[in-house]
Amino acid sequence: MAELLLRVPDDVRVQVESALGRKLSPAEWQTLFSRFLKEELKEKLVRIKHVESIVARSRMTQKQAEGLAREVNCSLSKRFLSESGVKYQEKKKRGA
Amino acid sequence: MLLVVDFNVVFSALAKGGKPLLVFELNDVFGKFEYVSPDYMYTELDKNQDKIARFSKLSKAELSELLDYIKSTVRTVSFEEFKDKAQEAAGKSPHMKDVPYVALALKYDCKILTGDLGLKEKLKERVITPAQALDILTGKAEP
Repeated sequence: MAELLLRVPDDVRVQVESALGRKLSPAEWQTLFSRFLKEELKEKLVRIKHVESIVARSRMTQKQAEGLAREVNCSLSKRFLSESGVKYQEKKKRGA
Repeated sequence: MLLVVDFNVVFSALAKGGKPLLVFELNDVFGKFEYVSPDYMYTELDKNQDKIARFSKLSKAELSELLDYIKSTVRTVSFEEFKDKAQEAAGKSPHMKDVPYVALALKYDCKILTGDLGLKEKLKERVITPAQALDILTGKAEP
């Protein structure tokens, strides 16, 4: 098992120990932390696996993704420039 | 560390997964970055749901789950908050489509997470690629 040194922040220690009405031993802190870590990671990993499984079925090509991003970004930018009252001057390409 | 997310990273993540998707997933676990994007981004995204569904061949429900995941990791910022940087951003952006991202990055003095080569070439100091973000998330590089 991987080992790590855990420093419990004072405010967390005081909050937990006052709720329980007693001081916790280092072993109890370890149990508490392991349980918390397991639950927190389990939830996130399940979510990530699910997202991965959906993306794996996506048939969108990189070219289509780039085209869509450009379209969405252009539309967003027009709205932003209009609300800001700023006109955008197209830049000349180098060598043009 | 605050990062402005260009939606080309989001679309790349939806298309091929890989590094663009990993930057969202690993950050979900490690929380090293705070992702922000200009307001109306999700409105624009929702407007294009049919097209995204057609290209990806995913069902509406699957697509909605993916977009909800992205929405849960990227906070949007109202135009009001950074429109004072619009003029400066318009002068610095290589293309019109980049202006809101550049303005937001100027406002918060942070970098833009993007896979856009034009933006990277023009504003090197302001840009971070998904590969670079992954190195930070995995501890291979300093923020």
